[in-house]
Amino acid sequence: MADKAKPEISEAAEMAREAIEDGVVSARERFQRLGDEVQSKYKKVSEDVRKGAERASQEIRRGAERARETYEDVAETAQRSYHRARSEAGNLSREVSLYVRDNPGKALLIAAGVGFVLGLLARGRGGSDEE
Amino acid sequence: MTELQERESVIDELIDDLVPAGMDWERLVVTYPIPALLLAAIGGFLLGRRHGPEIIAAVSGFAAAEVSRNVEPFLGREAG
Repeated sequence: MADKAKPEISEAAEMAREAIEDGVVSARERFQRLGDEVQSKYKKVSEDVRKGAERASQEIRRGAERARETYEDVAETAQRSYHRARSEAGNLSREVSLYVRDNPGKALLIAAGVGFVLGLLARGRGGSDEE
Repeated sequence: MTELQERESVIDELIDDLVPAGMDWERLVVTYPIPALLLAAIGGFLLGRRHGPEIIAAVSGFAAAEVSRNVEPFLGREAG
């Protein structure tokens, strides 16, 4: 009886081993698939992040370029305006000097008259020092 | 002498009376035109601020007296 039961036990053990092996293989395959999925998702996410970072970097570069161009435009305009104002002020000063050299008395009287009127207006607004 | 030259000489005489004697103001103004103008404007401003109404009243009184002095002979002739 023991001899008869021995092959059956060994057969059952073999079947159990095969079942376990199948389970292990199946579990390994499942883990493999899961790993592949996780890896592909990781790759997709990292690709998205990389693309987003590239886009953000391009936008920042473009914004910086636009800001630099705007700054250069404004600086150039301000510089041109400053030079023009300086040149016009120089011309005006030259013309005034010429007029004063040609008509010293008249120029002095006009300046004093303008100052007098401004003083009267200032007195009218703020009151005199003596009052 | 043209009218313009006469007016300028009147202005020069007026300034000669105002500035201290012996001071060559024309040379100073020609040498330093902008500071001279600024100085004149500041002087005028201070004068207008401190004694503006008095000066205007005096000038108005003088003008009124001159007008009445010039008009009086005609009015007197018509009235007489």
